[in-house]
Amino acid sequence: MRKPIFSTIALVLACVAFLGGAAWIQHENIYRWRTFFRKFRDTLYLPSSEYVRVTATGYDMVVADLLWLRMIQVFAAGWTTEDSPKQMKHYFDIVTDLNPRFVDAYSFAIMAVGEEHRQTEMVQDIVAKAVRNNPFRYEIPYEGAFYANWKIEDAQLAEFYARLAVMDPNVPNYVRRWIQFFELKQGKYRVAFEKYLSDYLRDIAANNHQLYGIHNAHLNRAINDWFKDELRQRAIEWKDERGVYPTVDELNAGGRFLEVELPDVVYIRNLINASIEHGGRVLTDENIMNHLNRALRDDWVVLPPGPYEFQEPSFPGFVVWPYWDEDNEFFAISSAEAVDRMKYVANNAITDAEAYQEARGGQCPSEFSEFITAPELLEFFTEYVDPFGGNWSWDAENCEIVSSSFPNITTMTVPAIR
Amino acid sequence: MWIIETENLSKYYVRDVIDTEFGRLQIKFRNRRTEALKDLTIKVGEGEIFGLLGPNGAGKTTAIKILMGIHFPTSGTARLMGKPLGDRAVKKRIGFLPENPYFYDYLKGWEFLDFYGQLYGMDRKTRRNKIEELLDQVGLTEAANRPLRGYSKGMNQRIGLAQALMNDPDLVFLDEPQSGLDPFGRKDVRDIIISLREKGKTVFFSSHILTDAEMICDRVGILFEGRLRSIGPLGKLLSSGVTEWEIVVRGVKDATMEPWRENLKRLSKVEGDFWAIAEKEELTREIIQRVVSEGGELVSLTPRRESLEDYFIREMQGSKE
Amino acid sequence: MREILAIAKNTFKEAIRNRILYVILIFALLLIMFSGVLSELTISSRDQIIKDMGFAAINLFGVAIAVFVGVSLVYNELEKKTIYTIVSKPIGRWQFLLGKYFGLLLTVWVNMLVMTYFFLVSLHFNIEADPDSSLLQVLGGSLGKGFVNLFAWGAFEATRNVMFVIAISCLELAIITAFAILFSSFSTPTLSMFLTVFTFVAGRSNEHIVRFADHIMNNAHKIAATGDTVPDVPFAYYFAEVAAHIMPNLGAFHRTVAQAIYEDKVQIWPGTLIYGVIYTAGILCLSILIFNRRNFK
Repeated sequence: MRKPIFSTIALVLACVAFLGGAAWIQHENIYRWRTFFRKFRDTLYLPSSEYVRVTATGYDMVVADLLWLRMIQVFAAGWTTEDSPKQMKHYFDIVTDLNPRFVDAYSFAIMAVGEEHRQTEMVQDIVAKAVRNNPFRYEIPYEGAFYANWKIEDAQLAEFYARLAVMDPNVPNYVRRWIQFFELKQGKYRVAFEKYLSDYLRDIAANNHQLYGIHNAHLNRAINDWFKDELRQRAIEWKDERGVYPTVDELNAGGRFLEVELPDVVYIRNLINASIEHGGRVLTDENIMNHLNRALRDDWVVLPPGPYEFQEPSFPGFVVWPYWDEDNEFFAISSAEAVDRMKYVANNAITDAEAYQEARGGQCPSEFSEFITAPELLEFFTEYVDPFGGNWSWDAENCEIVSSSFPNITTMTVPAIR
Repeated sequence: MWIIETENLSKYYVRDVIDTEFGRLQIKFRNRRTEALKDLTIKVGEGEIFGLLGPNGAGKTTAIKILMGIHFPTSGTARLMGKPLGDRAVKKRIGFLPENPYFYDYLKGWEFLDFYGQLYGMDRKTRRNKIEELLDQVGLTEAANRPLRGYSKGMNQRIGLAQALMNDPDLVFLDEPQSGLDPFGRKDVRDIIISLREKGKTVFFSSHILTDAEMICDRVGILFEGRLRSIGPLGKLLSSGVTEWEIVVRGVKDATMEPWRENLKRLSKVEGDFWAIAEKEELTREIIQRVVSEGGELVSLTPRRESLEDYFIREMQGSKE
Repeated sequence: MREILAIAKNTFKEAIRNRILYVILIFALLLIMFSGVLSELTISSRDQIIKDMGFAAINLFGVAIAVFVGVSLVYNELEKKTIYTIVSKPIGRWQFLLGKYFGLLLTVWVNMLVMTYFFLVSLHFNIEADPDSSLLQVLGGSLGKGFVNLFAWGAFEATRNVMFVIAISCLELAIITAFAILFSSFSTPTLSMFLTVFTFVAGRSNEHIVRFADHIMNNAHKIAATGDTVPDVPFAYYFAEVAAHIMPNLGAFHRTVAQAIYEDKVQIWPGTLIYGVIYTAGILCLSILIFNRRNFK
């Protein structure tokens, strides 16, 4: 029959016409969308956590988790921008208001604002909030201590945080040693020394062989730092009185170390060797207290001779450098050995320079790379600072190596050591 | 004690009606009451079959619903078995089949009856026996395992009837029990109702199929527009006299019967026979005389009494005027 | 109470046939499975995210089931007039309503159990499973372990906490279900749905209502202080106070989730449990009160 077919075709045509027209209009829109540039903000600014909490209608923890995922992404997207620490702190505040026990959020926030952007106040806020909400978890004060000491080098803050961390019974052992380490850095030598020594003795008593190396290193550094500090103080006093820096002999002759409390290195070395040999059977808590008392002496007529490196008997000791001024504190009291080594290296370089001069008929090289052939040596002069914090440079006019730490290292003489 | 007793039972619904008028737009707000039932007073005795009759919208269903506790009356009182409406002990002895019932169509036949048995507080053994018996009685034993979704209208009605008889009630309310049934179905329902009376039970049902009501009711009540028009045993309501005569004659010519056409209520010819209905006895005598004298044959002469339908229509027309 | 049981069984059979139930269930299962995927975005706290989202999904979709299935329950009975044959039986209207309630509650709880099973499977699959065995092995192991965990939950510490939290959620849902029945006993499904959802949100935000009230009070004081007058307590304050007392405190049931994740033992103050039970009883009494006076069409 003709009629039904006709109406069907008409309907089909009508459909095509209408829908085709709509699709064509849509095509225009698509074109417009593509050509119109829009900048999308990559982060979602959230109002205060109170609003978020109201919206969450009880599903606080899920919202906290979702925001945490967002936080990670936002950090990755914008971590080099200046806004980043503020955004991170804001996200952190909201996530931890919704779920105060979310430990990872605190750690991540400390990393994001502290280690990336050095925002100390923010870090302090974060740790304070963590301690308020999660009082006996070590993870966050641990991060804070890490940041405080190794990022901004504030040993006092680091010690405070380490003490907070230690309140958690699950804290790993090395965090306890951090306290002493930070104390040492703050100049509380005696306390640190006593703790290091007693820890060492206790571990000997418990036969923890694997920790002896660590304890040696710690004790060594503690004793050295203490000695150096005492020397420094005496040297400064001397200079203030007389205007010149003393040698260690002069200090001794002046009786400057009477009534100064310092460890008796010989005693300590003997004690430790004997204890290790006897397997620690003779060490009890009471014994250890006695040994601690006897390890310190304050009746030094002369500063005890080196070895302060109590594990290395041939250590030549410390020197007070006459070139020391307040700005170059790094090498005020230092081991003579280090200077010897520097001299040795510098002299090698000079030899190379002289060889170059000979080969070119007296012409002075203009920079290090021209006469230094060994690549490690070249690196030593160009890439690294010298052991005392200064920079090397080549004086092309006088054909000399200059170090900003030492005026003329090749000709300087090492002062008398004790 | 009357099994069912009501006194001035009334119910009205309130509806807001907005009147509009074309031409000049007028919106009127009028509180209109719909009086579903007004001052219904009936008494039904034990062992009776009582039929509540009336046209659609007369209020029959409302009356039954009020008695069942589905609606609350706005005034008046009612008692079932001497106790006020809603008495739980009474409800244990009553069965009810609503009009055009909807049931949970995902249940199977026997599950459905089992559910209602539980509502009656019957224990499992009693339930099981009773279900078998009832399914047999209503003729649905084969369909017992099918969900109600697949039942025809007649089967629906029958399972509904079974549900109403689940607890072997002393009083059964049936609202339009024969709606939608074919003649066989209607006969079955009639038989069941009569068997209930023989067991001494009381049946109260509403219907607008008057022929069936005529066949089985002891007493009827007629409702029209919410009011009870008349109530009483069938015999008393219908006039005992003969209202019309039906004559069937054969073997006469058309011309013989024609003159009486105006006086007869009806006259028709079917296959050579004449069927006539006369309202006056004298007329019949005349016709018979005439037919016989012409050599025709009287096939049958049947007096007809007033049927319920006739009575009904008479009453309705009377009320309208 | 055989009658209540009969109605409850019947309601359960009816509710199980509701298609919406299965849609919601499938969404819930998808979400639970998706949480495992989502947790890949973070390196640490993986199990925290999976657990959080699992608990929230079970809770939220339980509410959805209670709302969508429950609001039409009583209404359908009245619309389809299936109620006539029930009301004419020797059963009080309150028994009918309670039967509806318990049937709906059973439906909700059974569905929550199903979701919990998949939650346990997901936990096992994502967290405890041995990463070296093949995918099928891990999947089979998880499905089996899920059953074991579900029924032998007393034996395992970790599962015990999870089940405890789910049980508390079940109590919270008992309250929401009671509200669904309350509203559906006198209004249409759509309106009941809105009202129940609003009640749920208000109950969850109960704490915020209190803070809001305090906020208003503070503002009133501040305004009064500037003018040196006695503060005029705004009406909204009283309204908020009353609302905070009447609305169910659903936040109290939620605190156990944090405990399950961060602590070894999940504990709840017994007062909260008692509160849940008596509040539910109160709402049911209210629904019975309303339903008793209801005219059926």
